[in-house]
Order: sequence, then structure tokens, then C-alpha cells
Amino acid sequence: MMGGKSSNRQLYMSAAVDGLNYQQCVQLAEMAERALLHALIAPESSRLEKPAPSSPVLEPFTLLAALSASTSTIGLIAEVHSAFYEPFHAARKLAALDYMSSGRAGCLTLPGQEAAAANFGRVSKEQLRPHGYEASAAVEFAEAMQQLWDSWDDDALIYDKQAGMQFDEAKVREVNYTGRYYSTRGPLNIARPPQGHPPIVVPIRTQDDKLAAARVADVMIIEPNSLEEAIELSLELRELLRQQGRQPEQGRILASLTPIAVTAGSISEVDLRLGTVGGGGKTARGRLCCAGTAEEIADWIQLWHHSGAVDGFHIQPPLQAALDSFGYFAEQVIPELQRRGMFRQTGSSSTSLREQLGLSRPINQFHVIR
Amino acid sequence: MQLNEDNRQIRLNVFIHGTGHHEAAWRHPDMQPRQTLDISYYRHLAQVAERGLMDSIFVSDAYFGKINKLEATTLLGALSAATSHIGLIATVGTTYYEPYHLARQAATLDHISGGRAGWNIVTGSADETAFNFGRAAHPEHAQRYQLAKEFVEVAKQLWDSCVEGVAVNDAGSTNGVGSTRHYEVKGPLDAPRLPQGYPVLVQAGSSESGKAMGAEMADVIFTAQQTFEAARAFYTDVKGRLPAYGRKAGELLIMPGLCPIVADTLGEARELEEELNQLVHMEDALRRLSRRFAADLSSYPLDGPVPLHLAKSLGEINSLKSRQSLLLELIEEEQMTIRQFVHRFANGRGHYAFTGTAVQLADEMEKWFHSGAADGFNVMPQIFPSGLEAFVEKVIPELQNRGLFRTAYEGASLRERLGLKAPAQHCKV
Ligand SMILES: Cc1cc2nc3c(=O)[nH]c(=O)nc-3n(C[C@H](O)[C@H](O)[C@H](O)COP(=O)(O)O)c2cc1C
Repeated sequence: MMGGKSSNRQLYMSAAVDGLNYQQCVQLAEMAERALLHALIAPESSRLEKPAPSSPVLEPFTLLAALSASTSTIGLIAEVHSAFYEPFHAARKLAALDYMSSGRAGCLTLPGQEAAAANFGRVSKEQLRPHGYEASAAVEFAEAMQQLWDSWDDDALIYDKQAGMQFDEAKVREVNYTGRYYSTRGPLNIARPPQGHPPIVVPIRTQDDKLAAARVADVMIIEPNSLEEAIELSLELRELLRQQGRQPEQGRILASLTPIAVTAGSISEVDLRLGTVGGGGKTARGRLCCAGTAEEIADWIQLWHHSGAVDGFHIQPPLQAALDSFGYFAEQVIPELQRRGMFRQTGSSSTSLREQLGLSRPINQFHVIR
Repeated sequence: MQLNEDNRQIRLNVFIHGTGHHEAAWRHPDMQPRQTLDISYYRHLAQVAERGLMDSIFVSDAYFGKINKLEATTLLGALSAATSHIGLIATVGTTYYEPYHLARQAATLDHISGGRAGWNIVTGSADETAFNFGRAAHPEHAQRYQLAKEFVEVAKQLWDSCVEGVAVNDAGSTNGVGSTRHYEVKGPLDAPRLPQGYPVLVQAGSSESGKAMGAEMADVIFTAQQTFEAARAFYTDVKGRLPAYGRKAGELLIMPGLCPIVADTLGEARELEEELNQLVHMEDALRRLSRRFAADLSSYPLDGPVPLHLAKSLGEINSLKSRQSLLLELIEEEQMTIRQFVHRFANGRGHYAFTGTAVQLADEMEKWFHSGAADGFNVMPQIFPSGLEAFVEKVIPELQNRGLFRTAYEGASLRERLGLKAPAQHCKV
């Protein structure tokens, strides 16, 4: 629990698969899976800034679908910018990914940036985009998806050849979701995903994000400046969760982290500028970095994790040398954490991302009501 | 029009669809319908098709209904990792999509597959779709096609905003690429240029607007034709439209649907056909087909004539318009009973069905191919995987023996393999 030293708390780890070509994505995914990380997160891009020539961003669902074939246990989380997306499309892509990966799909939702709206312009008013940039729009988006996933009961598919019935009509329903930003009738055109609901991941940047996360997030990603800040933020998030009637452990908190390897005599410019060798701090670009040897990075992770502030980390390798940098983390830092008994040494017996994150499988909300 | 250019070969796509294209395939005793949500089932089908050196796999899609189906692009994304030569054609409907998302999705599929992506451009066919996207109604036919044409234009401009090898653009000069009457998309696309430039563009509409759009911008047309004569008329019609768009006959491949039941003897093939027809759920089938009529067909005798005078007019139908006229003509011509109509529609929903031996089928395909009715076929096995396996093991070798089909994969991309030109880049850099 908070503050207390609870060394048998699981340490959860995800990694961004960003700025790489497909072959590199496969390599990173395989490294991450070998290192027993829990999930990969594929970022969305609708950026209008000048894209870096070396870092094309592959469309998350299609990329993760391909990675589902070259991996077998790691979670596959797709980032979606809800302002420019439809819950119906996202819900069924996630359901498809969840089926194809035996329950490894997840969704990171963000409202998206207003600037990107220029890529989704409509001239005619009746089709005007976007849906809204408020955090509450992303909440609606997630809720709409969850209702669509619940439009089929788990046991709706019966395939009664004799009677000529593929599914039980009484177990498939319209959901008629009507929110401020979205509405969708349903049912979804695919049965309830293996996980029930693929987990929802919400990055916490603003006050509104916190409220949003408290309602729908299974995983929250925070970007604190210091351990003190992380502790404070977690307390607040867990309290907000409670106010929504949820248990604190129903929302895993990960801190996003860029680990920078420093082997003797190879201190890079970044580290010097940061003055954070052997410690953590924020870079000029607002990323939490931790530079040091594998032992030092492990010390730092241990300190944070034992403080109770976070349940784990979302590793964002520096875009410039993502593969090498992640390789160092997976092959040096993770084994160090394992030596200390801090990180799992064997894979989970379940492929379900939810189960691996210690999250329960949600019951169908249309059953609860009845 | 020259139809028999030297070494012209038949193109073969396989249309992967649930348990098979016969509507009762799922009820077959050998079938485990649950596996249609299982990637290993599709991996097997894709690998069988690739073993048969087929040009491509195609997956249809829709955004409504209880079809219980894996979304097309995601499915093909996974299959790209399980195959290495075969083309991957995903259906994406334009009416409820964003050109920017489509462009990225197709770009990603093309990159991860090394130039094997295709896009079946559809406009959707049901009012129910609108309600899933917070809209009040499905736009009517002509409006849908107008939007679709603009959508494709914008997507092409986005693909053109990528330059060879690198992701765009230091000067920002490709900005504002995608403007049409209905869309305003700034771009550029955050991706390196696609290996194929554009994915192979497929069009499957057969109405007037569908044919016009296909003739103007498609690389491949899929179409449902019930007879050789109808297919030839369609082929002549569409190819005849190409010069108006400055295109040559070879720049557009026409691939009618073909639903085969193949066995070593005609008798065995007929047996399998009969077995599948017996599995049709008559009440359901009648209910479905009744939507095309102003009457409930189940109140008519099964072995009596189809009440053609009660068929809905084209104006009363906003979906699958072209399929309606096709069916009615066929019923009239063949003087079908209701039962025959149900069975005819059950084995491929209005596509050309063929039951026979590999030699007989190859004869038929050769005839269509050499007489100006087809450049290739959209193969729609009535039952998976056995129907596809039979096609690959029996029919393809027969076509190869006749010099009508490749004996090894050639060309680096789907586009090259289909003999299509790489799109010229209209890059504004
Ligand atoms: C082989 C084939 C595959 C098709 N696949 C789809 C599909 O996946 N989704 C869809 O909405 N329509 C699909 N269609 C329907 C066509 O896009 C089109 O709507 C239909 O043929 C009627 O033509 P029309 O729209 O020009 O009237 C398909 C048609 C054919 C022939």
C-alpha cells in the first residue's frame, strides 16, 4: 500500500513501439516479449508538425495485428484519438485484435489535438468533425465502446446446426448509446471480445484527464517531474477512483519513463544537460528520464515502485536510438530487476492482458441492470 | 478491343468469407463455425491460396448487422505476417470513414506486407449503418458514390504526399493536398511512400454509378454475374468506358465472382451441392429474399413460380441495386420455382455458381477469359477450407497445364503481379 514497503507487489511494464519501421517494430516486440514486459503501446499520429524523416508512424491497429502474429503473450495496446474516430470502428478493430491475439488487445484513448482537425475536415455541415477535445469526450468514447462490446452476451454464439441458429437473438441487443459527443445504436457486428472489455489506458496530463481516468481507465499513465509529485498524483488518482465507486487496484498507475543507458565513459550530452546520471528527472521535452548503469536504473525503479507511487512503468525509448536503447533496457535492466526479485521471471499462464495486469474481467453491464 | 494478347493469364483472387459462400456452409457436419473468429483458420486459408499461387485474398466488410466478423484491415494485417507473396485486399467503406485514416491504414498494410495491399472501395448498403455512427440516414446511392469518388481522390493525394523512402517534406509544400467538394484534408500523410504508390484499388459496384467509378479509377472490378452472356455484356460495357478516361483496356481487370463446387466426378460434385442445398434453412432464406418483394414469399408454394410481378422496383431499393435486376432477369429467364431461387441464391448470393470437375470448370473459365467476359475470377468457394483446397489442388494445375495460370510468383508487388502500372506520383514537392 501507499508508503509502505510491499515488495510482493507486481511491477508492471509496457513499452512504446514508436518511430520505427516495421522490421524494427517486430524486433522491439520480440525483445519486449522475451523480457516478459506486459504490453506494447502503438502510438497514433495525426500530427501536422513536420514528421521526422526517420520515424514514420504506422497505423496502430494494422501494425498491432501484424505483431499479434509474431508474438504470443505480450499485450497490444492501440492509441486512438477519439475526436477523429468512431467508437463503432474502434470497438470492432479492438475486438478483432482481441480475438486474433487471444485476449491481448487494449486501447489508449486521448481526445486528440485540435491542430490535427485539419486532417479531418469536412466541407458539409451535416458531417462536421470533430467530436470534441475535452477529456470527457474520450470518456464517452470509451463508454460507447464498452457498451458495444456488451451488445453480445459471452454465450450469445450457439451455432445450433440442427435449429439453423448461429446465435441466440435474445443475447444480442441494440445499445442505443447517446452521449453529448457520440451516439451509436449497435449491436456491434462481432461477438463480445475474449477479455470482455479490452483494457482502457488513459494518459494523465490535465485535471480533466484525472476525472476521465477515474471513470473508465484500467491503466493510467502519469508523467511526473519527481517522486514526490508521483506520490501526490497517485494518492489523488486513487481517491478519485474511490469516489467513482471503484477499487484503487482497478486502475494500474504507470509512470512513463525514458531510460538512458550510461556505461562507463559514455555519458551522453543529454545526461550531462540533465545532470541526472544515476537518477531521474525531466528532459527539456518533458519526458521523465532516468540515466545510469543498469544497476542505477534498477535502483531508481525500485525506489519508485517501493514508494507505492506507481504500479510500474511505461518505457518510452528515446526516438533517436529506440531499438538500441530499448535493447539495453530489456537485456540489462530487466534481468537486474529480476535478480532483485522485483520483476516476473516467467511468463503468465494466461494470454489475457487483463489477467496479466491483475484486472478482473468485467461482467456484461446489460446483465447488471436487469 | 484486343482480348487475346499474348501470354495474358488468368488472375485469381480468393474471397474469404466466414465458413464459405454457401449460406448453409456453417451447418455442414465437418464445419466448426466458431473458428471464424480464430486467426489460425484464416492463416490456413491464406496459406492454401498462396500455395496455389493465387494473386490475392479479399475480405469483405460492413458496419452493421450481426455478422460476427473480424474487421477486414486488422485481419489482413495479421495475415500479412503469415504470408509472403499473396495480395491482401481489405474492404473499407467510404461513407463512415475518414480519408486520412484509410490512407494511413492502407499505407501501413502496404508497408508491412512489402507492397501487397489492396482496397475494395465500397459505399455501404444499409440504412442501419447510419445509426451506428450517430447519423440519421444512409445517404442515397448517388450521393454515396459522389462522396466515395472524392474520398478516393483525397486518399490518392495523401499517398502522393509521401515521397520515396522518407516521410514527407521539409518545405511543407505538400500541405493542403486533399481538397474536394466535400472533404478538406490538410496532410501530409505521416508515412514514407507506399511500396506500390497506391494500394491496388478495387471497385465492386455494378450500378451505373458503380461502373462509372470503376472505369474512372479502379484497377480491379469485382462483379456478380449470373451467366456468361451477362458477364460479357458487363465486360464490354465497362471496358468500353475506359477510353473516355484516357485509360487502356489492360489498365482495369474485371473479375466476376465464381462459386465453384469441384470434385473428381460430376456426380460427386452434384452430391456436395445437393448436400449443401439441403442444409439451407428455408424459412430464414425466404424471409431474407422476401425483402426484395412486396410480399412474403413463404405464403407461396415452394415449388411454384416466383411471383415476379411483386418484385420491388429499383427505386424502392437503396442497397445492392444492381443485384436486384440481375436476379429478376435470371428468375424470368429460367422460369425458377421459389425453391430453385432459394438454392440459386444460397450458393453465392447471386454470383455465378459452377458445379463440376476441374476440367469442366477450367473449360468454363477459359471460355470466359478468352471471349471477353473476364480477366480473371473472384473465386468464392462454397465451403472452407475444403472448397478452396479442391480449387487449388485440382483446378489450378489444370489451368497451369493450359498455360493459363502462373507456375511461380513473379513481380515484387501485387500491382506488378497483376500487370498494372505503378501510379505516377503527382508530388507537389
Ligand atoms: C465481390 C463483391 C464484394 C463486395 N463486397 C462488399 C463489401 O465488403 N461491403 C459492402 O458494403 N459492399 C460490398 N459489395 C457490394 C458492392 O460494393 C455494391 O454495393 C454492390 O455490388 C451493388 O452495386 P451498386 O452499389 O453499384 O448498386 C460487394 C460486391 C461484390 C460483387
